[in-house]
Amino acid sequence: MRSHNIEVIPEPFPHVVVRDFLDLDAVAGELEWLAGQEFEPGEADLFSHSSTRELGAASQLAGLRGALGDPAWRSRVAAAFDTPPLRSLDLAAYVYVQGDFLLPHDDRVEGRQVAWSLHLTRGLREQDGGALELFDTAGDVAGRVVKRIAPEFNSLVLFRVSPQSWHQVVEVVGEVQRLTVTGWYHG
Amino acid sequence: MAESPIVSAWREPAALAAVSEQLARERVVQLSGFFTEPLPEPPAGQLAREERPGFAVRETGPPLLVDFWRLPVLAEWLARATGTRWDLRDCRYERYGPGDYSLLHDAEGEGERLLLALDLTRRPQVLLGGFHIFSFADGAQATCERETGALLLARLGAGDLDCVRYVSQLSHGAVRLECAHFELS
Repeated sequence: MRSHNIEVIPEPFPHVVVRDFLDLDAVAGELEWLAGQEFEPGEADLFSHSSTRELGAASQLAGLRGALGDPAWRSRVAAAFDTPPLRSLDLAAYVYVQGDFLLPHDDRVEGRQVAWSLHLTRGLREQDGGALELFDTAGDVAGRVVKRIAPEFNSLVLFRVSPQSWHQVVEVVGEVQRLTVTGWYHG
Repeated sequence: MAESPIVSAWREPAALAAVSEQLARERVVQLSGFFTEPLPEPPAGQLAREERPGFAVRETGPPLLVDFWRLPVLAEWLARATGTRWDLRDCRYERYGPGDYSLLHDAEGEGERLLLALDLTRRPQVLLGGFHIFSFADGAQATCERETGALLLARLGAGDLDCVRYVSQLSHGAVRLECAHFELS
């Protein structure tokens, strides 16, 4: 397990960006396996993207799950975000292609404490879209986009799930594939 | 405005019976070429930007067809199509450009009502997204593509929701709708 600094950025809501998260040499085979999985297209009023089945129990992702689920790491994440102990995580892979998007929402579902997304596409440019945008809020109501986080390869974004954690994924407009592994830590 | 701005084909008893049957079965019908008058132009400079991320992002403005929505002949047509009498509750113009949308919880919590949306979209074939989505309380879903000049008529109950799908940034043009809600008399 690599050692990473967890620096919580408080505004607009507590979040962390960890660059160079994975030891790529150690998980190269896992990423290759992941890219070969079946991605099912999904559409709703809120989103358009493709995703895999839940992969939390996939033995082929032992290294990835070890990095994200390591007890010491989870304890540090819980301490950083001041959450109850993070007992479990779920994960799935998502691909956004041209025209895909995720509209504003706060991620609140019972049991979710911390959301995370690990970006796994190299060389995305700002004009390709696919950035994660964070909103400020008035009470629990989303206001304006106040922060844009580029989907930098091998960067992990985490944020505390709360009534203020309004965010969206900007529509992908380039002819690219934006691959992430995304999930939540549960209390 | 002509004596009846509803095209005669949709006033025929057989057509009305078919509308009534489809509406009772599917709760949504899309009626091509419903309006006899030339489609009105959207107002210039009268639209207000509505920015409610997570609910709706669009432009809205005063209705273009308020006289039409209040016509006795329309009220009578609706009564025959639905077997119930309805009163106009509100109406307005809506425009969804690239990046705009509404979400399904926009109209949450409302009771029995009719939604009438006259489609004023020009060249809907160059739009990506922008179609209408209905989600019914019993789990059924319906989508309706944009069609210039068509009237979308939906009979909605408590827990039934509707929205306009996100319009892609890659689209050219915009969804333009004249929307009216009717409630039970």
